[in-house]
This record gives sequence, structure tokens and C-alpha cells, in this order.
Amino acid sequence: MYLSLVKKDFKIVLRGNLGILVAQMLFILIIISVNMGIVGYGVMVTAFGWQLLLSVSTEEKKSRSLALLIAMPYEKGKIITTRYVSPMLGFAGITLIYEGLALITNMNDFFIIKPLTYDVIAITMCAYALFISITVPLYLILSDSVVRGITIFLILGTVWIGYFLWNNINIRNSLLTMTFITNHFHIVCIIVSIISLVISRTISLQIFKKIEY
Amino acid sequence: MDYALEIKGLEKCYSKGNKVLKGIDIKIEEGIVAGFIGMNGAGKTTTIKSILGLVVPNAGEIKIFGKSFKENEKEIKNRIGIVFDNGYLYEDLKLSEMKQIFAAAYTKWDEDNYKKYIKNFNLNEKQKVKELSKGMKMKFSLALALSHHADLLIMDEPTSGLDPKIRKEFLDIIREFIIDVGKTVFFSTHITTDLDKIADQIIMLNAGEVIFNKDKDILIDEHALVKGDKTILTNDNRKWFVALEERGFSFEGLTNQRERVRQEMKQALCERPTIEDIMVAYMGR
Amino acid sequence: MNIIISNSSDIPIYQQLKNQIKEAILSGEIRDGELLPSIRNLANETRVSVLTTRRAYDELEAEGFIKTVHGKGSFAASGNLELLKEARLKQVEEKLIEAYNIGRAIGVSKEDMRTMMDILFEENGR
Repeated sequence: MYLSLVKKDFKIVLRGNLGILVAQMLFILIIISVNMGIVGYGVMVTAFGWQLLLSVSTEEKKSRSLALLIAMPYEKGKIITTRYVSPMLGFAGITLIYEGLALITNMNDFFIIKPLTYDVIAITMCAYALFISITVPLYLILSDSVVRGITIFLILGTVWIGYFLWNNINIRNSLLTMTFITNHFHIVCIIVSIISLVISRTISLQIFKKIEY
Repeated sequence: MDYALEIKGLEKCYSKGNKVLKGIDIKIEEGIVAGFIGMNGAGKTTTIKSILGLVVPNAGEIKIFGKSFKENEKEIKNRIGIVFDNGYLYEDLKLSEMKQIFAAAYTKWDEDNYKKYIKNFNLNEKQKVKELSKGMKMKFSLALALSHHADLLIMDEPTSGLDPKIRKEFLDIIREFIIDVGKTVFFSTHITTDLDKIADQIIMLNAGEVIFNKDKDILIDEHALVKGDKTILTNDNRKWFVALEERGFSFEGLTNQRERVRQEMKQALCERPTIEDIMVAYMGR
Repeated sequence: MNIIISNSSDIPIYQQLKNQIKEAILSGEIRDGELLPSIRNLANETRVSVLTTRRAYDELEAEGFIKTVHGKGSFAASGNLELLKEARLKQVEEKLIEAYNIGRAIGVSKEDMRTMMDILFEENGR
């Protein structure tokens, strides 16, 4: 059952948007990777997740197809969980594609994309999971255009804050001295991701149960 | 007597003072085609949505196939085929992709049956839902609804906006569906001529209340369109009419006491009413 | 079985249905033991409610004209010749009373009537 719901989400995002999506990805990749290195990966992944959630929400609101899904034997829990599974799968997919591209471009010296390290994947996954966790419930409550505005704001704001914090030597040093975090960095990222997704899903499910069609 | 659908005391308020359903009681036996009529806003769609769990009622109990809906939701939904006026289908997906979503949801999905319907309806699975005409969308919805061995078919205005030829095909499909023992159909519609042809039971809703719930033939036998000279009307016999229009020298009305009018108003002309005549008369009250 | 329900008749629909089925059985159009259409098939064909066809069949069964076997369907009652004969005799009686009334009204005598009946029997070789 999950499979068909997840497939449906990917068909929606890839269907009308394939050309735009690929163009967006390449644009981000080239421009940002050249200038800001590894941040290109983070933005690419976020752009995909953002596009996925927006496309699915728009389509379902336009067709009012959630009414149909609910009238069918799909459990509300599964429907909501899919909202999280799809973007996380997208994350995995884009990561693999990026890494693939990195390997290819490293073979010739013409243009180099920095390959990923586990640290980068972990921190990006954590940020991505937090992003998804905030966005999904918003899509349930607010209209798509409002959420679109909020999320752009959020992304830019977070990137700016992250950049600012990291560039502040004091904050960077105090973060690095939290040895617990630096030694178990990957695990901390995974745990934070899971916790935020689970809390978000619980909230989303409660909201979803109350929505009427 | 096995009831496919039992609704008791269904109430729904949307906002303060806006009571859309004021205590609906409906029982539909297995094997029946039940038609649900009423004006726009009478509460038909809200009732159907309550049955399917799309709307949460404020009060009332719903039993389907004798089981409580709340406690057996998934099992019951597996046995229901649904057709909505708008389809509520994913517009950007291809028919085959839309089908995948259905096939994965229902345990008794029957691919052969589905393919038969697609062939009979001349549908092209590679097309996207949004490319279909309204009539073809309805047929596609029907194909989906009828391909998982559903026992109860619930439809909300399935033929609105469709031309008579397609509506006739729709009725033929329903007739074929209902021939199997244990199948039940419940649908709301404005198009009362469809009900004249296919319904066993007619339920009329107005302003959130059930106005009548009867065997179609008894309904028609009990009522009559009456025309005659105004002079034969008296204060007594005026009470026998559900709706009465008095003109210059004649009157026309609908009575729910046909036999009585026939016996005691012999100078009047009695004619068999259509369901529309009956519905309009009750709506005017 | 050729059932036609009239929209303009004053007779209730289920009654029309009953009468026509009864006629068909009495006249031999439906043979004893023959399987009748299911209530649903009959409803579909005559555009009548299945509740009506069911009621008609139920009443016909109570009156002895058909027999329903659970799981198999409804059959024209076999071996109920007594009942059929009785019904037919009743018809004869009714028609004779009609003939009597009409004859008396124009002054036909008992002898004349007897003669007419003799001729009928002779002509038809019984």
C-alpha cells in the first residue's frame, strides 16, 4: 500500500515538472557548487524536497483527491506517513545522483564537483528532516501559496543563520568543544532527524483526522 | 432482513446555527437500488460523506453490512465502491496510474474485470485523467468502483451533466451490477427520470430532514396529479393535497391520497405522477 | 411471460403484476413447474421496484399459484390443479352471471339460454 502511495507522489512531481526539475538541479549544482562548494548539495536536496511537497499538495488540493483516498481503505496513518517517506526517499535519491555526478566529474579535470563525506550527508539529512517536519503540517493547515512563501523564507533564513553562526569563531569553537556531538556526530544527526519526523507526523496525523472533505 | 446500510439519528452542524443534517434515519435492504433526492443544499452530499468517513457527524450511528462503521472501517471500505460527481481523481496521472492506486487499496481487486470495463467503455489507459470528458470520467470511476467485487455501490450525483445516451448506459451498467444477489446501490441525484427507471426505493431529503422514504411503486400509487374545476374544491378536500395551485377557473395539484380523491372527487382528472412531480410538490411545502 | 405494466391504469402496480402472472399461469402460458424470472430480473425488465415484484411473488405464493425454493427460484405451482380448476370454475360462474343479467334485461328466457348453451356444446363437439 505504501508503495503505490509513494509512487503516486513521485509521478506527480516528476510528471509535469521533469524538465524544470532537471534544469533547476543542474543550475543549482553548477552555480552554487562552483562558488560555495558543498553547499550546492544541500540546496539541491532541499529544492527537490520543496518541489515534491509543493507539487503533491497542489495536485491533491486541486483534484481534491485526498477525499478519494480517505473513502478508500487507505488508513489515514499510512496516507500521512507517505508525506514523509516520499521526501526522505527523494533525499536518498538526490544524494546518490549527486555522488554519481561527483564521481563522473572527478574522472576528468574539466569540472569538479566535490564528493560527499559522511559528515556532510549527516548534517544535510538532519537539516532536511527538520525542514520536512516543519513544512508538512503547514501544508495541511495553510494554503499552498502561503506555505510556499513561508518555506522560502525559512530556507533562506536558515542558510543565512547557519552561515552567520559558522562564521562566528566563538560559536564555532563552542560547538566544536561539545565533544559529545563531535564524537557521535552521525548518531546525533540521525536521532534528531527521527525525533523531529516522528513528532511532526504525530501532529500532522491529528490535524489530518480533523479535516473534513 | 439484512440491511446494507442503516443510519440512525445522523446530525451535522457546520457552524453555529447551520444544522445541515437534523436527525436522519435511513435503512436500505440488501439487493435494493435506493435513490436519494432533494434540492441542492438539502444534505444529500453531507449524508454520503458521513457514510464514507469524509465528514465527522455530531451525532448518530452508521452501520454498514450490519457492522458499526467506526469499528470496522477498513473492512467495510473494502466492500464499498464509490463514484463521486467530480471524480476526485488525480488529474495529472494517467488512467493506468490512477488504477494502481485503487488496485493497491482493495484486497479483492480484479484486474480482468477492470480490463473488461475499460474495453467496453472504450477508454485509453495511457491518457491522463484531465484529458477525459465528463462522461468518460464517470465511466472510468465506475470501472474502478466495480472492479473490486464491491457489495455496496455509493454514488454522489454520478450522472449530473451527462447526456441522455450516457445516462442510459449508466443505468444498464447498474442493472447488470444489481442482478447478483447481495449487491446494493445507493445514489443521490437530481435526475429523477433515472430513478423512475431504476430505483426500488426513493428517499427524499429537504433541509436536513427525511421527507419520505418509500418503495418507488407505492410512492407513485399513493400519489396522483389532479386537475379539475376550482368549484369542486372544499375546505376538507384541500387537505388531501401536498401541493395545490388554484388558477382562474381550474386547479392543479398533487395528492398523497389518490384512492380517496378518485372516489370522492369524481369530476377531477387523476394522472399518474412522475417522481419529479412528487419531489417538486414536497419541496414547495 | 409477457408482462406489461400500464402507466395509465388505476390498478396498483403490484396488483397488475400479480394479475398478469396469475393469468399466465391459469391460461397455461406458463407451464406447471416452469421457472419464473427472479424478482430482480422481473423488476429490471418491467422497470418496476424489486420490492413490488417480491410482494407480488409473496402473495402469489400465499395464494398457491407459485412455489419458491430457497436458492433455486420461484416456480409455477405444480399439482395445484384443484386450485386452478376452482379459480376457473369461479370464472365460468362469473361469466354466466353476466350473461344471465344481460339476457334477463332484454327478456331472454331460461329455454332460450339453454338452447344457446346446447348449440355451443354441439358446435364445439363436447
